Amino acid sequence: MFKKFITVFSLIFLINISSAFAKEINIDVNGLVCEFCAVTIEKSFKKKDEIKEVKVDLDQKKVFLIFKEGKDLSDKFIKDTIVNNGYNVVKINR
Amino acid sequence: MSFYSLIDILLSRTSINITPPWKGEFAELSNFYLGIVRNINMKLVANHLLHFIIYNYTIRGYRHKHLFIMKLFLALTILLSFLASNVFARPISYSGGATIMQNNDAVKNSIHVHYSPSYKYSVGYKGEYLRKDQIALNGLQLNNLVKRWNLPAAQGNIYLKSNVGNANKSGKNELYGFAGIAGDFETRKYFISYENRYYKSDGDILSNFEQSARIGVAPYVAGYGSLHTWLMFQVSHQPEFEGDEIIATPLVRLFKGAHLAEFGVSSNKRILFNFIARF
Repeated sequence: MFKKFITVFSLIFLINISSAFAKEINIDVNGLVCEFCAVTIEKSFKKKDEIKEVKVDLDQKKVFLIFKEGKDLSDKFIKDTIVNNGYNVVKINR
Repeated sequence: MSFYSLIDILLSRTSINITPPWKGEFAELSNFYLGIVRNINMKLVANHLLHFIIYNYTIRGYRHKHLFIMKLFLALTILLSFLASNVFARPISYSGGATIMQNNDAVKNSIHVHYSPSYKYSVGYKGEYLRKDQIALNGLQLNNLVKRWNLPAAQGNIYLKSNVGNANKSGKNELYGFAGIAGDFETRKYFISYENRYYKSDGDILSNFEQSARIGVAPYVAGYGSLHTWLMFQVSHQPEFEGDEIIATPLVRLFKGAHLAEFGVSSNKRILFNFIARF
């Protein structure tokens, strides 16, 4: 029983540790005014293997990128992706 | 100067040297048609292109590897080309995106299926049916984003649209084309747009100018992933189709994710129903 408890506890601990290392950045974007704009950006980033999750906040005009553990994308790539979809990057906040 | 002559002169002064991005069977076919564009007059080209579309998207389409897309395209074309168009929603999708726009308004029914290689332009098929004069239009359409303004809380766009194809009325076929400009400006709360278009065929089937405008307000500002609702008011002037009457249409726009639908009733008691899906 005690061994089972230790095993489960260790697994939960490891999962939490790994998610704690998932890197998240946010980008201020101009022109984010509609649902289609958000869908566009989300689809573009979701194609990348490095990305774990993409969130778009239309109120804050921000795109949030959550990377897989140990992964990242360069500022140039992030900026090009957003510009090539027709929007302007104001600032990448790391 | 006839419409054909104008197109011929424009083509003769344009250096066309395009290498298709696709390979194999489609590359050979497209090279063949690009060869025609370089050497033969526009009417013949348009007819060949129409045959190309009909042949590839119907007869051969069932044997093509993109069977599902072909069937979908064909089914939508047959089902909805009886219905026409007033495209206010943006005519260009994201890079690599495809869109189906189906519009039914006071005077027309239409379907527009297009693909956007970049956010700056899209190409596709457009079918329209002008109910009063019973004119069916089938053409290839090019939409260009001329200018976009990205502001912190707003966006503005100017588009150019052009189309060339076949106009059919009572069994009579003519080459037709249209060109127009469209613009919109929106925040998350307010929306305004304007669009015009000039149609001309090489005979007497079509020769008309139409224009329309919209204003809209969102009763609530919805977040990403939620249902967005807009209350809009559209005015349109299509003198060749509806006399000098200005048609007013209050409507509701609903969209969520990549799908948009609009419902309204026009002042000439016609139902407006538009649907857009992006892929």
